[in-house]
Amino acid sequence: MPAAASSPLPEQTFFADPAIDRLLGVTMALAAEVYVLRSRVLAFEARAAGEPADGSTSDEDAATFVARLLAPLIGEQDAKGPL
Amino acid sequence: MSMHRDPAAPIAPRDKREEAATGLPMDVDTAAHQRFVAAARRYWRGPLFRALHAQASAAPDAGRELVTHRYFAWLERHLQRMKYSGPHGLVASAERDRETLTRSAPKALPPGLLTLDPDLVPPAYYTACDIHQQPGGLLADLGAHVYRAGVSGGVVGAEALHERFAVRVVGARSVERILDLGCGFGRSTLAFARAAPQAHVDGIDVAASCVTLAARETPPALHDRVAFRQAEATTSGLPSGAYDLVTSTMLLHEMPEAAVRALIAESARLLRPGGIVAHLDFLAPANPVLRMLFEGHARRNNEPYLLDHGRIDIDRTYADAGFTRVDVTPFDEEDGALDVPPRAWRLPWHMIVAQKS
Repeated sequence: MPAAASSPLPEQTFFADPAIDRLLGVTMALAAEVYVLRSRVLAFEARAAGEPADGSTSDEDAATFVARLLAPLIGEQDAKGPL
Repeated sequence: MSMHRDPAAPIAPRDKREEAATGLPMDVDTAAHQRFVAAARRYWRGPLFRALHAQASAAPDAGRELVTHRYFAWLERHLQRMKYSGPHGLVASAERDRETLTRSAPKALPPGLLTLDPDLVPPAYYTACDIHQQPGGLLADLGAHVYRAGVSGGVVGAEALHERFAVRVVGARSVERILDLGCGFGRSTLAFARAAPQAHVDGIDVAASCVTLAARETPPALHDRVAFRQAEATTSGLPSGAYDLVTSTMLLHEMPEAAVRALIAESARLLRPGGIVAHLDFLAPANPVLRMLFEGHARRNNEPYLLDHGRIDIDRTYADAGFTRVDVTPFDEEDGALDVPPRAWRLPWHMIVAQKS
């Protein structure tokens, strides 16, 4: 492990093409921003409907959002078909 | 009116639920970001891990080359980065509320509860790397607040793990003096104080931020039998033979091999004859898939010494230090944690317990 560097160290990579590593970083940053916006929209909708809203989404809501987002990474068919 | 807003600027309202869970003041955007990261980590260690475990077990030669493994590794690395870094990361969140977090000065604490050593020089290995990918590590003045928030949603930050370990170690033993090495922000120290209600417990840690937060968080009912001190575990300066029990939780894997050996020797010096040393830490699993993931975790989570502990001949090293017997047993940090096949990715917790001659 190198001593604390004065300039940024290159990030670790996990794919044969490091462009995938970086692009996945952009994708996940966008997904996180979408979730922040989703939380705001849900809070506004709740207030518009006269419901109490503290601006806080639930862990279950986050889990559902993330499951939709990341399910393709497992690489399994949803309906049986040719390989 | 400008449509632009500095994403690092504090905004209202606050997210009280997330603040209560993490101990860190937090605006709603940061809370939503953290909730997203936490949910993604649960998906990573749950469904994605189970798929990888099945695929890698069916194709043992493919291992690291599996596409699912590449995504697993990427997410392990970058979800941790997203937790701590960036405008919605925990470090930036703590900085925005620096004044709130530092308002309660240590001088308000009862005498003896906290002893700081401004002259302490941390070991070079401790400062060479931002462990767990926490920028600035625990030596930053808000480091303990950030770390506590970072582990708040998982097993490490839960009181249950520490209480389970402390209860098993103390058991029916009669212990009056306990030393908790590398005590962090005090979860383990307070767990031992509760498990041994007659004992006095000293907690030491090299990070001033950790022992300061630990002292501040100690319930008044424990003030007269708990004390925190900024000190390094291998050169504690504490008196020889003073303790019935010396313990650590998640410390050994942060130390290089030579430092672990020094700590074992120091533990023997600090214990009375017949005293017990008990560590809760990680040893590599035998299962090849789990071993591969554990070894990869060392690099991905900035744990440069994670594998050093496993290189030590535990029986021989403890015997050389003056211990009569060593018991190494897998530790189930929560019910079902040792199930086969595993339900989720986990660190391979082990209890290492030895008795001084």
